Amino acid sequence: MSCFLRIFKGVDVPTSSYSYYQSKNPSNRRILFKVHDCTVPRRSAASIAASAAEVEPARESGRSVAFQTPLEQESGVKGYSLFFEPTPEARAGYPHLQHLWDIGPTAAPYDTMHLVLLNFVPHLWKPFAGLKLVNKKKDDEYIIHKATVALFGQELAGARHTVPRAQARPVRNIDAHHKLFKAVDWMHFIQYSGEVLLVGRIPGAFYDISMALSRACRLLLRPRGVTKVEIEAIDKDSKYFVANFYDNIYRGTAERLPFCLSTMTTLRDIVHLL
Amino acid sequence: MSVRTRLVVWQFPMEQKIGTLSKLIRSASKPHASLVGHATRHAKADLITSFGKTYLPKEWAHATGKQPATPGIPVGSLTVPEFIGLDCALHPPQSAPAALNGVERASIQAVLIQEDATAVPSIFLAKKYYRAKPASGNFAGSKLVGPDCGKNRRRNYLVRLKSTEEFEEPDGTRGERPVSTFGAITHDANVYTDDRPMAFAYVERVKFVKDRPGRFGYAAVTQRIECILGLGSVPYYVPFSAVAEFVATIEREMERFILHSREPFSAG
Repeated sequence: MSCFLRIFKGVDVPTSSYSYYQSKNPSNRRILFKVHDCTVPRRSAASIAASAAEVEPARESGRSVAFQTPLEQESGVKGYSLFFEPTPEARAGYPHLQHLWDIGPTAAPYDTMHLVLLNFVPHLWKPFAGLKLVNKKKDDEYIIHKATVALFGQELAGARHTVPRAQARPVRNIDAHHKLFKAVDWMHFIQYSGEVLLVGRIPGAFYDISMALSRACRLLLRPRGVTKVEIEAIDKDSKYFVANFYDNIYRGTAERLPFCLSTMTTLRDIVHLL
Repeated sequence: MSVRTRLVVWQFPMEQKIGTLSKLIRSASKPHASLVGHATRHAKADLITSFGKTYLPKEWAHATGKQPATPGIPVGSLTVPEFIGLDCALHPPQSAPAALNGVERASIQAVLIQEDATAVPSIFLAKKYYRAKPASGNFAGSKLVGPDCGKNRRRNYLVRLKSTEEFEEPDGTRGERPVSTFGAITHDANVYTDDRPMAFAYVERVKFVKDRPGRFGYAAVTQRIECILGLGSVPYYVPFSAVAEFVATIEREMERFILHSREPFSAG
């Protein structure tokens, strides 16, 4: 399996139709990629073109879907695309898109709203709130007691009258309504209220993980933009988050593979999308 | 070097626009025609509204002989020009004019002396306003909340005030440095003096365990986060320009923690 920005090797789980990207091979403890100083080659316009050239003949020749799908999953490219590697006819017909074809994968970057607010933050909340269990075990040290989660909800609901409307839409009970949370609700949780709600209620290592993501989000989602120094700070915090998430929550075991989402590998490269 | 993060936030308005499409496409058989029809009607309505906003106040003023309200602020509001920074606006609800007595009068006299007013009268007639829009664009409102709402109109937003404190250098000289203090605005008052209006906020400072004469209104720090125990000092008037921002708080275990200030995408 390959990722969007780098050619990571993932693990395909046919039963769940998901691909997971672990940093270490659980069987032989071999390091598959490093969060800091990653040496996995980055995708480029040329590598996308090569992958498309590899996949496209299978489609054109009418090979079976069972043959095409592993090829597509292996390369991470489904074939020609107008914005990345167009067909020869499209290349001749849309010369003004040449710049997009030259810059490669960043021609269509992930947007932070979906990648961070609707992906990482809920996936960070789920293990904390005991909504994503490993082998139905509820005694992991990062799981917050149910009564405390209910208290979070009450405290958030109580803050409705003390959070200015310009800063957030009415704050919602995260315990009762987390499934209906919009991006703005998650944004308020990770950037502002989460800091207060979580401190002292989860072990320090996990609080530090969530605060690293919080600090990165505060800069990433700032309307007035970021400076070069702040981009470096985002990079540092996002890599800290990914590295510690793998160390403390995934822990390199096969049973915890569902924590290794493909988007986790993208977060460590998020500054390249700015 | 500054990098704009347009790419990372564009999805918010895009999602909003996509959300409106389902309401515009009402027909399963002719979606495009339906969409175009609705979009045209919306565009016409927007045009009529914009024309109305431009010409209606003048027509209304001409027909009734009354001056049109200042655009952008509700009827009954008062714009107060600020000499430092942008103007602020005091918004209704407002009280009937009444004389300031006791602590309020003493406080307004003190702040006028501090602001170098040439004349400080002994009698003040004031109209109190309960909402204000400072230069930052965010409203400071007060809502009726809590079991004692019948008696007290409680300010539910804290404000960060631009204050200064004195400090002593190692060589013994005294200096002044800017600090942040916190309080809640009980009401705003507009005072005409020296032929110009001045806006003042009547602030009740937060309680601080280390309060002492000349040093008050500070937030405590618990778990590396600023927090307050509650309000509880003698209220006093401060120039409205001293209000730096409105801060959100969340109550946990009898303490009100001050949330990290957010830069809103719009003034809302």
